Amino acid sequence: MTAAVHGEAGPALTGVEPAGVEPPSEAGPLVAFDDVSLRYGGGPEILRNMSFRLAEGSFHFLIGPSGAGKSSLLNLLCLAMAPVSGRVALFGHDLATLRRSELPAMRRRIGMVFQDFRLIEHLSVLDNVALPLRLIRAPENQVRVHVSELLAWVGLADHLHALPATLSGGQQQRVAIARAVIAHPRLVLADEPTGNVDDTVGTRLLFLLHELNKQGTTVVVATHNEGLVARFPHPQLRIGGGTLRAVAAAAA
Amino acid sequence: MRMRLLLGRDPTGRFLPWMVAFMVFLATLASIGAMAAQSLTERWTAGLSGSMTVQLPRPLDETERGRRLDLTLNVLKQTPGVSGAEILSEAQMRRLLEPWIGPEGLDPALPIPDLIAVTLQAGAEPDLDGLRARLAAVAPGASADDHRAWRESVGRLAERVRLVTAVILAAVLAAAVATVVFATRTGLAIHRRVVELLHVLGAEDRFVAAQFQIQAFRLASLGGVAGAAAAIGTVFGTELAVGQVDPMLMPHLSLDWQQWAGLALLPLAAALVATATAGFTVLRALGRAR
Repeated sequence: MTAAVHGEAGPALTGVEPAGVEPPSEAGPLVAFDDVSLRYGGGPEILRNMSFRLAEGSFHFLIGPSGAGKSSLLNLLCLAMAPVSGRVALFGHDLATLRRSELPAMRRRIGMVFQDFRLIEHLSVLDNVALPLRLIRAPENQVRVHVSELLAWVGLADHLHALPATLSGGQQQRVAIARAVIAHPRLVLADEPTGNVDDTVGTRLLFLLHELNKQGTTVVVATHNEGLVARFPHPQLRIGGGTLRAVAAAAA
Repeated sequence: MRMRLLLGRDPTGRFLPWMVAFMVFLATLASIGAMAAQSLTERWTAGLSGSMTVQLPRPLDETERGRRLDLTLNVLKQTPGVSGAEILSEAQMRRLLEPWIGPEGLDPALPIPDLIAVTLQAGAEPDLDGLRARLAAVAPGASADDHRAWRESVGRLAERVRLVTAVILAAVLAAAVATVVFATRTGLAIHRRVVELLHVLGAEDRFVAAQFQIQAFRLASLGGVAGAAAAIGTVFGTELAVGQVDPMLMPHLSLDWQQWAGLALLPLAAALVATATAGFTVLRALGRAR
């Protein structure tokens, strides 16, 4: 296990806090959405009046059919987009009050696993995973040690110098997860991490995210694979038609 | 930065070096032309400054001719600022006129005037009107020319050449900037997903811009060196081709080391312009995008 992945155990899993109600934690919620709406350009609203809280150290599934707005919600959470109305707060900071120059530092506290992996094709597995560390100018010797250990954790120790195109879908997904967690983010977002792999690999990927969560990282996984979700006892945010339909507690 | 360039190959990688090469080729040719013109005018004016030419119509009587020449030399020697005066010999006259009348020599029937080459003391500017009046008294029809009109004409020519070169270089610079802006915007569109990824991972705009700047510097350097080499090769090829032409008609290229150093800086200048333009273009585009 790498130093990047190791950490103090996070708070116990908590459910979704009702909108407008602060969680009991003095530190406040890690994520707070209040009446948030989003649209692309001049198009219709993709997300409408969403309000919810995510406590630090929680693990949530974001569930809904294709086109429900899961990816758009994740885009807001990873600060790739800004809402057209409403308030988004991350790590206790209202995003509307942040200067442009402060966004990169915020983004470095978030790890994102894209549905299509988004690996840079001409870079090796090592260079892809090392990217977040190199962006913060971590010492190169530490970069290599951390990347090697993390790739061993995700079962790709023998693929350090491989190009993404030579890996299977499941292996690429694990590289994407390694890249998302290498800099020890407080929040990890995964967009359909099981969408391009079979159930066995998908289950293994969710175990990786589950293990990460046990170490204190807050995790949000968007998926429409309810069968897979049923195997993991985590609360669920159900969205449809651009609105938050229901908040389900962890399955027993 | 130790990190490998994060942008993959794209069509601008083939397009940009060619465009920069063509522009540096034009800029180098224009600069060489300006430098050659500058050197030539400096040689012309340097050869004529500090000297004067006195011309005497040749009378039919040889005795009278000799008397007028002696009197003229006396006038010149007594003129303040004149350090020497020499009557050009028949052989010297023949060499001067050879480009126009050929090597056969002067036709004795031609009314060729006598010429006196006058050397002036350094910085001396004799009273030309007074001298002309004194010469007219001893040799009717004598004229004195300090080449000022010629030197001023050459100076105006050199100024125009410099102006034309500046206009060409400005046009090339504008075209180069426009080309790099277009190539960078195209690159941003092609690499949009990588740029988005870098932002999501926490890269600052300056880091993203640096990726495009490194790319632009590499490609523009490659094109710039090729363009300058092609221009210099073209000039030397032309020199070889016209090597047999009389230097009086087609002066040979002669640049000093500072001028060569200036030419060597053109590819570097092109690379730096491309780098700055790419950076500015990316930062502006990213600033507008959010």
